Amino acid sequence: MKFRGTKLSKRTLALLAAAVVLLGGSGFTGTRAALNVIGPNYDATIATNAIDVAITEQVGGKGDVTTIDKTTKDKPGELTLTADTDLAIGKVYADNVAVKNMTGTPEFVRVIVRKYWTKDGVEKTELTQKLAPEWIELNVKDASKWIVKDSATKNNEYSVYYLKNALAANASEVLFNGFRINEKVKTEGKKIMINGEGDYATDEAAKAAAKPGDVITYSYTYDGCTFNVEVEAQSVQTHNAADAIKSVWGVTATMSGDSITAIN
Amino acid sequence: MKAMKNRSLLVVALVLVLTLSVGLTLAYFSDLSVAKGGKTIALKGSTEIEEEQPSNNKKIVRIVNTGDTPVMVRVAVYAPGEGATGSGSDWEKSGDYFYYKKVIPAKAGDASKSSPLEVTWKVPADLGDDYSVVVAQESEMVVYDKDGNVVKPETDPAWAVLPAAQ
Repeated sequence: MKFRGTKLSKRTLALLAAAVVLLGGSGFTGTRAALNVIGPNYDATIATNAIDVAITEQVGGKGDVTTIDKTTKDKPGELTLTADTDLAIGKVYADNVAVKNMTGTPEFVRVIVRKYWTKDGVEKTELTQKLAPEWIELNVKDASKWIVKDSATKNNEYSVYYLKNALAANASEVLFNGFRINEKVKTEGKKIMINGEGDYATDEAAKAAAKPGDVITYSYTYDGCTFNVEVEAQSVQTHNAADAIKSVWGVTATMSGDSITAIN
Repeated sequence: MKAMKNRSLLVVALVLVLTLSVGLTLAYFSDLSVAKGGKTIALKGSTEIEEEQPSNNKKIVRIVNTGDTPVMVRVAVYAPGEGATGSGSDWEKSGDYFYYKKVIPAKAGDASKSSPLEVTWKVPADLGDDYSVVVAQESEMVVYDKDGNVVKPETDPAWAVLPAAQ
């Protein structure tokens, strides 16, 4: 056979034929998979070519719900957390942070949560590396609905929450309904000076040295530091879910019907 | 020339086949959304004493919050002889200290000032004018429990530095 005056070898022809056949077959496979997700209606198949998960926030636990969608790590959406400007230590602030299925197709969802401290907008400093993410406490609304992994790593800096049941079409599920800063930020790393001198690590040491009329000054390690909460919602298709989860999330999911029973 | 065209077609065929395998890997539908937020915490309170002395055995004391965070305060009075007594509608004595029962808010103008604590003492006859009464104050940042209630000042373990009244 000739192609633009060039004689093609049998090997080249065979490879081209194989490529065409395989590509045709792959298109057929993709179409079939999509049909299985949606059902027999081919028109609906076109609408399922993408799934969509969003994060929603209801500051104060009531009122307007803000939807954060189509955002990435480079350009994340903004969580308000609270409308208060002065944060009260120890107080639980109501704040509903949820995942929402933005499509008409169910999807499996996991949420990666990262908690960390910064000072003047900088994360990697000698000071901030010493600050404890566990004092940023997030309250899970219903722990029975989630499988939590990795919470023991890095001082509770990272946690991954897998929603056990598929998130139904257009449904949402609240992960956190509040947060608080543990009062230990007030006592951990506290330093005391008397009349501008000394560096007393404990109240007892300072009390022993202080006299009436002395000016006693405290300094706090966490003073002026910013606590940060980063939430990443990820979703995969429910069709062929175990393989999809393995491929996209890199973990092995044990399935029972339409639910995830274990993550390894 | 002929060999080069053959090679080009071979490359095209290989690319098509490789594209097929990549396509299979990306066949699953997935999505993500990311959000983040944060708040800065202020722990360092700053307070000052305002004193008036209307007579030689009385002081009117108010504590002013000059910092950026709500505070709770306590006062110790050091007086010679039999010591001093204190009274005020929002003040409560516990042990050697007078505790202010309310939170003093920050950045609130006149509201950033406690109600008065009236301190009185018995003038010691043997000392004449050669004595002094010292009023000292200590402030701590307000701490809340999980329900949002202010932790009672006298139960806060952070108090410890201010020497007790003698």
